[in-house]
Amino acid sequence: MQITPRDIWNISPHLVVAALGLIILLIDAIWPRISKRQLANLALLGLIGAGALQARFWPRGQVTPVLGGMIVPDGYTAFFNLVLLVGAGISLLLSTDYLEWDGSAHGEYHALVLFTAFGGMVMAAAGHLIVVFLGLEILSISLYILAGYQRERRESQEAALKYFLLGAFASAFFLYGMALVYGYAGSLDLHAIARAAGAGQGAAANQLLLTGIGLLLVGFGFKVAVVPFHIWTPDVYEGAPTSATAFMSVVAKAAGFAAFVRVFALAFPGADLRHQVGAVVASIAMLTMVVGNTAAVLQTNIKRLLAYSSIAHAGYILVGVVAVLRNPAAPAEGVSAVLFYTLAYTFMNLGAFAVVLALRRRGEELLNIEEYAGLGFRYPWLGALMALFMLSLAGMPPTAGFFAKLYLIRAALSPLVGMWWLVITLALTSVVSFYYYIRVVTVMYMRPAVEGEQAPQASAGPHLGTGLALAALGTILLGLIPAGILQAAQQIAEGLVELGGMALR
Amino acid sequence: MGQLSWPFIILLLLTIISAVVVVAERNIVRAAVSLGLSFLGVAGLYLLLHAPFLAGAQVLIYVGAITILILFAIMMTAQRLMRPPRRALETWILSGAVATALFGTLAYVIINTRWHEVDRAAQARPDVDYVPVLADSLLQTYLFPFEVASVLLLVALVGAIILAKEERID
Amino acid sequence: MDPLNAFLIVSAGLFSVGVFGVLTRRNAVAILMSIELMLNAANLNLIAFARFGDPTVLAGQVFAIFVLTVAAAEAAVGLAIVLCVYRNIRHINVDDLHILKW
Repeated sequence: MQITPRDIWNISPHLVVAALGLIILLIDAIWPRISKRQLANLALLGLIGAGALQARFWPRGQVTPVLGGMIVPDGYTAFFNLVLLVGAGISLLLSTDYLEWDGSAHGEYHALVLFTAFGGMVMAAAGHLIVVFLGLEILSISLYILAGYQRERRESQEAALKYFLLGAFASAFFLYGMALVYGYAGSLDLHAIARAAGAGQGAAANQLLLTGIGLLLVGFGFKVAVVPFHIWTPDVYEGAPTSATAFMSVVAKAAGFAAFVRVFALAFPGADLRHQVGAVVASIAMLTMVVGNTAAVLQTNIKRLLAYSSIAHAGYILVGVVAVLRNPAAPAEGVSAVLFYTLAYTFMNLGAFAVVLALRRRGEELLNIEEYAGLGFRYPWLGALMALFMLSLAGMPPTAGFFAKLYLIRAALSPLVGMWWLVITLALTSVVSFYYYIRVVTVMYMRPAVEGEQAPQASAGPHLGTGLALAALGTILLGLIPAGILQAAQQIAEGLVELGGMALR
Repeated sequence: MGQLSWPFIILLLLTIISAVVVVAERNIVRAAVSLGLSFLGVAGLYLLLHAPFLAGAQVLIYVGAITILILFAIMMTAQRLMRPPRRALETWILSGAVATALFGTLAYVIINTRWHEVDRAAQARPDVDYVPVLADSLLQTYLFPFEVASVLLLVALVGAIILAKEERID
Repeated sequence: MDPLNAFLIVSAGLFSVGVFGVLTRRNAVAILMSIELMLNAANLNLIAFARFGDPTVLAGQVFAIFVLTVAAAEAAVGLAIVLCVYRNIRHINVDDLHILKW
């Protein structure tokens, strides 16, 4: 295999992000006294550069795999890479103030954020199961470290331990699943697997493939936090440093779904197989929506509330995955709905965490929802933005969350999918979700504020302010003018389907 | 079962019995040593599968590095005798049922798969010296994952240092 | 018995023993050891399939090399986390994690 300049160009965004992580580690080691804000600024500059390189692949890119089939530089990769870059960028903006306040501002934090994003980008671009696995491990290991970043805080350490043990357990299942799929197809290349699975090799071999796919589902399910692989989520979200929680909530989800949808949409053709797998995914989706939303109602800690809400959102996105699997006539519709939802979720969830990161009371984080009383009047801007993000997460028009859910429902309603009960569950659980999202808003606006020493303080430096503004802008713009992104998402989805067709030829 | 050779049976017993000791022994040091034995058994199985390079790597990395690392961690965390879990009997019965069901499913699927159905003859490839092939593919077809793995190692290195070092210097 | 099947059954056994260990152990290091057993089982599968199945390239063996790398990295980070937890709470028993219930 010859590596051409063209190949390097195709993976240039990945290279920029990885190199940036290394440069930051180096600078931090050579000049330990350098302001960590400067390092964050450098990282942001690099992320913007990587985004600009990546934007050249928008929205079609090149569908033929490069580098020995390891990487597919198509529009799908470009979309998820941009989502990951935006997620990492806003997270960096949100974390500088928090880290300085917390006294744990170190250059390694920024480098680890970049490496996590790199791992996610590798997953999104992977055309080969080895690459999926390595990307997933870079992402996971960096996140374990970020979860345990506050070394003096006991909760943070326990969160890292729990995340690590359960994550490694899930990785082992994932790997075993890959091994079985390899045994079935004789290859780890997604196209070769698709050819083997498409040829159809008898009922017994099919069992082998189904077992492998089931184990892969465990791995992906853990990473994106769906029931019953979600038990780590609330504790890790609560224990990890809040800035790291914000980051992992969007990046792990985007990267996990990127690889999930690509592997399942590409590698396992055959209507019967997809029908069966789709039914399993549908039941997981239903369970996830129900459990996530009902458990969220009971929470009093905002981080735990957002944890269960993130589980619920993973359930919604799974409805899109079901639409991809069970609608052979137009899988592109499901794919584009998943793409749009991931982007919208990135903006609105980071926004909600940005507000949490801005609030303090007497030198402590403000995490109890009851303590948000009167916030809407004390800090009108912050209150209004929190209300915006909560309404968007709930799916109120005309925010990003509303259109994201609408497209999911539209994709799943196609008669070929034949899962009307899934759509009904989505609608009903969304109604439940209004209860707990709106509760945050009512506490902010309907309860009398606490005055004096106990009063909450908000502090938003330029970094946090910019991050908050970007998240709000994304949430509003995706709600007001969703058509542009949706069109691009559809083109990208068609590109992915075309790629799947190519694989079978 | 006629084709099963003696080396295979010995290695099988070594691997599985020491694995059982790993999960059942109360003394964690013994469990860790037993883990090393199990890794050695797997390395032997790799030799039977004509994968000497992997067998060597297995001995170096798993037996040499990971087992030793685990022993270090055990020494630094003081706890030698492990307590059984809370509600031990329930946990054991339930976990045993889960593990048995898993094994049953996997074994059922494996035995039922007629491997020639899977589009190839179920026989070994001719024995060639494949180490050069492995080296070539690592640095050609798999060059990208190879480089990605180096980033992974760097992340682990940095992470292990910032988590485990005693005091921050700055 | 088909030689491939023999190896696969050993691997399935090793994997199930590892799962049992993860579910019953309460010491964090012991859980990590059980996970290593599971990773070994997956590797054994990969190499067995590479020997008997994969006709052209040695994808299984290459993957196994990467898994070795990942396992080493994971063990290093995991044990660092364990040490850090031990420094904070003087034990590594997951049943006794106070703040976050197992």
